Amino acid sequence: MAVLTSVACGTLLAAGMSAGGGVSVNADTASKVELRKDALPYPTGPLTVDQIVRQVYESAHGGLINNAVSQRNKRDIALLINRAPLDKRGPGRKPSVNTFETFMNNNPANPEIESLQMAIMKSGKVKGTGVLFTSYTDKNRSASIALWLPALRKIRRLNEPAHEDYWVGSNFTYGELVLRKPEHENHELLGEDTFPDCLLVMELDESEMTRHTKDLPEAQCEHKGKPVYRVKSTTKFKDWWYDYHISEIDKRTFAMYRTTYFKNDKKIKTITVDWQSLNMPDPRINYPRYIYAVTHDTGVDSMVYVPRSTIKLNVDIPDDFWSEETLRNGGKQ
Amino acid sequence: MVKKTLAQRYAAFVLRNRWFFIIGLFAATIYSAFYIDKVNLRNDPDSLLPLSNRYIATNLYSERHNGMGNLMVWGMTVREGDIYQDWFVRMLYDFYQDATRLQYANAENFVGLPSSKLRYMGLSAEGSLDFKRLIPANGFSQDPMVIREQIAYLKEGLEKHPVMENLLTYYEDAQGNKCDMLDQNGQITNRSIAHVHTNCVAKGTFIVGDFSNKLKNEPLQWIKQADALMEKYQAAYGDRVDFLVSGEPYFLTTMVEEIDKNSWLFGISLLIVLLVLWYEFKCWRTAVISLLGVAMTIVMTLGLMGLTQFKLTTMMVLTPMLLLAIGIGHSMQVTRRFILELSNSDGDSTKAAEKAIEHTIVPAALSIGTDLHGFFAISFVDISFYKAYAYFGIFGMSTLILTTTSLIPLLMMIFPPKLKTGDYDRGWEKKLGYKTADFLMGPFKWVPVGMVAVIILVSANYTELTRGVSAMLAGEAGRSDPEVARIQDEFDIMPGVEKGINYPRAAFKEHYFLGELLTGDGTVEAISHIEQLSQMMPGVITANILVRSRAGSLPLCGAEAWNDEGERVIGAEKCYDEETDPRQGIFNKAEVLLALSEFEDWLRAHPNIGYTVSYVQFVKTVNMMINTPMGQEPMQHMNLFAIPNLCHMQENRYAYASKDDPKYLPDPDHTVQLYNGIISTSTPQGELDSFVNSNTWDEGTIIGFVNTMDPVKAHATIVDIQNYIKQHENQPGFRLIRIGIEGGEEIPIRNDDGEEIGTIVTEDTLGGKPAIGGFLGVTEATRDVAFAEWLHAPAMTSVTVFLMTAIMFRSWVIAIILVSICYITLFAQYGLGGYMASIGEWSANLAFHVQVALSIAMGLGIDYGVYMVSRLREEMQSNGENWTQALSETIHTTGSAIVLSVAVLLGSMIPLMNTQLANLWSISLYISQALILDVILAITFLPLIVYWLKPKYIFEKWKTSTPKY
Repeated sequence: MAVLTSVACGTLLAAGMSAGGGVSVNADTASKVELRKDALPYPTGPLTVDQIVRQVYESAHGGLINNAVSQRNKRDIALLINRAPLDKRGPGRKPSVNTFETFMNNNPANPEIESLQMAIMKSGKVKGTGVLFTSYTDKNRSASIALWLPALRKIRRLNEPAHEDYWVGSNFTYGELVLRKPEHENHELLGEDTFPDCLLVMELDESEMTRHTKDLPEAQCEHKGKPVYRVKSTTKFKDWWYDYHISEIDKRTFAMYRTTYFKNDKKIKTITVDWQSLNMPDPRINYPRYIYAVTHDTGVDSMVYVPRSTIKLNVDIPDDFWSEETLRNGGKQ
Repeated sequence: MVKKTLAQRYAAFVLRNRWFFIIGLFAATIYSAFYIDKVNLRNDPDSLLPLSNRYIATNLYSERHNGMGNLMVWGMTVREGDIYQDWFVRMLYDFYQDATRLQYANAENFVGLPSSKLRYMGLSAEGSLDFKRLIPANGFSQDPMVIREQIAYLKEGLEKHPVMENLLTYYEDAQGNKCDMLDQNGQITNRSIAHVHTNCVAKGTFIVGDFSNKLKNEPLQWIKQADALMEKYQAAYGDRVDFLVSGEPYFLTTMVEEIDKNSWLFGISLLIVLLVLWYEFKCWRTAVISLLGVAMTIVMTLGLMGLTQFKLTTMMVLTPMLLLAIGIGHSMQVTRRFILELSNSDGDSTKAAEKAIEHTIVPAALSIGTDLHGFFAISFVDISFYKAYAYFGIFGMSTLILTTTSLIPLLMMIFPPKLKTGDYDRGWEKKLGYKTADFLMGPFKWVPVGMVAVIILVSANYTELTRGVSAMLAGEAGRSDPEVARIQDEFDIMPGVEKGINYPRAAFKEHYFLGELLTGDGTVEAISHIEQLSQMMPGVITANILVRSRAGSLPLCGAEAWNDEGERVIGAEKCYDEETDPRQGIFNKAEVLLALSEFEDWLRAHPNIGYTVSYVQFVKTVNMMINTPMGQEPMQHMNLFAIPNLCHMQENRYAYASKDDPKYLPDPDHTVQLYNGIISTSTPQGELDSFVNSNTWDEGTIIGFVNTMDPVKAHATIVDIQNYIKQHENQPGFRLIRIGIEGGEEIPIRNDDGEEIGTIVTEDTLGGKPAIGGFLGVTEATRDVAFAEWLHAPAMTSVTVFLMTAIMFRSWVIAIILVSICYITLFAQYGLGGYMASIGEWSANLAFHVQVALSIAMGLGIDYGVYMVSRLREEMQSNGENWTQALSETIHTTGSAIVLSVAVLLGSMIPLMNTQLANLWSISLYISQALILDVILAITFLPLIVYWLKPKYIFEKWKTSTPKY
């Protein structure tokens, strides 16, 4: 049940977006966006592997921005698509699709709170359900989750999920999305290279498509040839589901295009992220157009797709918007 | 010029083309040998029975859609203390990890304490709902303080789990008795749980594993891995833990392994036969050549099995044994004749070979013709292993004409034996002839008659024929007695003969002689383990109840259902849009879930069903977790472990009323739909599929764990389930669903890679009864097939035997005599079945796989009567119609030959009868019983009847010579 905390996705959606004036991000407004006050500065000079990994973490987990919102814009809305394992697919079976809106506050006034993230499911099997995820500045304190259950008109509080738990029935784990920190792994710089491939993407047969998934993006090839760091990260957890992963990280933007997981030296899972520039002065502020994860032996895959038109930055929203009351109102204050 | 007979022309043809025959047969044998290792010995009970059978089709459908078709169970009990010891939980974690890494494991369907499904169902220290795994994903800590906390969390979490605790934990009281978590009504209540937790100790736990069907393609490889896993842990922990293992894959692959391990016994059989041949011919070269021909037939038959990739069972091991036994009879006949002719022709081996073929080809052809009857009759039965017996039996028997009657004389012509002087006959053969003739012509002639009477009376007693006939005659008036109605409905005139099957016991014996002989311990582990697990677990065989909607569901809308302007162009009557249309699917309706919940409660209260699991249990758990008042332990509110229909919510208003609007109660359907959403987004894609179709929400499965394998109780259980469903079919909730696959449905068949390779249309042979899946369903399907065939297949065989013998002897009287003897034998076999049922020996009751022996034995056994009748006619001619002399000569020659051939058959079968495998033993037992009886009747009873009835075929005044073939 804890996996309902779809706000985890909001962390990625908001990654790298910084505070502005309640506007959609485009070339004209880009210059108005400012970095968060305590944001990690853009590095200069040669970097150690730990510095690279820290830059990646801060960029990808919203460490550079204040708040961000992804809301329906006409027919555009953020999607999460989950597909069954290969052996369980068959005629008539379509991937499950959830549409959702997210609201992220990375700079709450309460000093005890590190961030507030809220998600409202707009379709799918949990339509109307809302989740408020609160992270605390005290690192020893678990995050808390409030879950609004519309059919019961009830709020329930849940514990923080585990690293290996899957997020909203998807192929992303909480560890991959939010919980794993650089200190959970040992890192080794394997070298520098150019990114060699197009990014993997979910490819649906015509029979699998619905109105929401008929216009999914194609495999992104524009990152091919960009200079990347290749970093091997070995987990410190004993008997973990992977032994290590190799990440390919843009040398300039610190965007992690591809992460490949290995167990017993066998490739088991790949995650690709199509990071797109928001034309910000700080090149680390990027936008994940799609995130795709596939497990190789079963074929289970998931994709998050966020149409550009749904994103707004620096929306002028008071802190009390991130409340149980807003959950009860379906995301409206 | 004298016109040559057909036999003479055939003999001349073989001699003329000798090298073609020899090289051709050796080439075919060598070619076939390359396919022997490709024999598809997969031993799958689902593939034994016709897929069009609704029970089997239900399993086929469930396996495809839900998995959970090949369940394994590992049990571990600690000898001292309870399971909450650090070394034990570490071992359990490691074992679980290793088990999920076994080849073909569906790791996502595994259930055990370390599984990701096992979650804490309580409150955290902060008062939030806690759903963490009971055992951390990366196992237990090495730190003694931390592991103590982890074990306490595991114990507390397990004791709060309303679904899995009962399935996965074995509790024992101080006296060593099992403690049951369910109360007498099949309910888990706060009281029943408290009783167990207070008075009992958790002594054991189980891991339930699921494996894909692909393991049936590589059974030996898989069972080696599974055995190695057990051996590894037994070596390390065997002094502190008792390990048990069972499950369908284990059983089926162990059977194949048993064949593999004991293949050397076939060598012993060959050795026995070789010794008999040497005894007969006193010449190794002759003995080897005689055996070689039969060996070639066996190789070619096994090669054909490999070449055709026919799916075979371990029972097919009897095919080479039968070919060996039958073939050796032919070998001996033709070899004897060759030696006789060699002697008559002063060592002219070519002439001897031609004469040997000429004289033996017709009797051999006729004998093989009658042998084939049994196989021919069973080829029409729609059971794959019956067909396999039939096809490969017919092929093998037919090749004997070439490999024995034709080839052996050719080989002996090239490698002739040294001629010996003196009388070739053995003393015992002569004695047998004249002593038996004296016996039958004297006052003791009534002994065989008395023997037949005793056989009939004893058989009638054990088959309970009188009870069956009385029930049949009771008519409509007697039907108030359910047993009488059953007998009438199933035409069960021999109710003492149990036709149902106890699959584990049909597969394995409880004890086996070979084990006692070689290791001093004859206990069959597969049986002892399953029996122990049956006592400890809620049940080790499953009843899979497939639940689907009557109305069906609309297909999900594709992209074409909406145009570019966002308007819907394909309406809600044609496709389903999850975002805009009312929820479809029976599992989105509270009344259906409530009906299924009540059905499960009833199942759990059934004496033969230990427990059930289903998607409904998930919904009930979530309902309890979510609606327990904030800050209170969910397990203190077991009353909320329920499907939230309006009545339930009104009765438990404290849990459901809204804070803002005290009059508000949630809509039951919306509530369960929300739970479905929560559950489906809480589990990885496809993981729920073993319980519910999370794509359509229109079908699911209830898995019942059945705690008996007794065929009578198993049948009663399935009948009770079917009656419950029938009685409730128009009740709220139930009226929206249907159970199992129905008649006339088209079910796609897929290969191991999931590609569709055809469809089958199910037959409605069950009337209105719903088809139940799982091993219980297979057991019932097997019983149905057994009831359809137990009289039918032998009757068909006897009809063809009757017609063939009538044509062969051109005598109705002879045909009637021979068929009557067949019926005596058959009735004795039923009697044996009744006896086995009466002592509860489920390894040898007359289950469907044993019934194949009835037809085969009839086909083989009729030979003896045929030989005797033919020889009596010849001897009557040769001995001037002196009956006593003719009888003496007949028994001396033919009688001794059939005694010898039965001795060879038994000798070759005995080694394999003593392995752990019950199916080989039971079929061999019934065939042996029939053949021994056939020989005795052919030598004693048949001559008496012939003498009394004096059929013209034997007693006519001879005007012509022996008919030419």
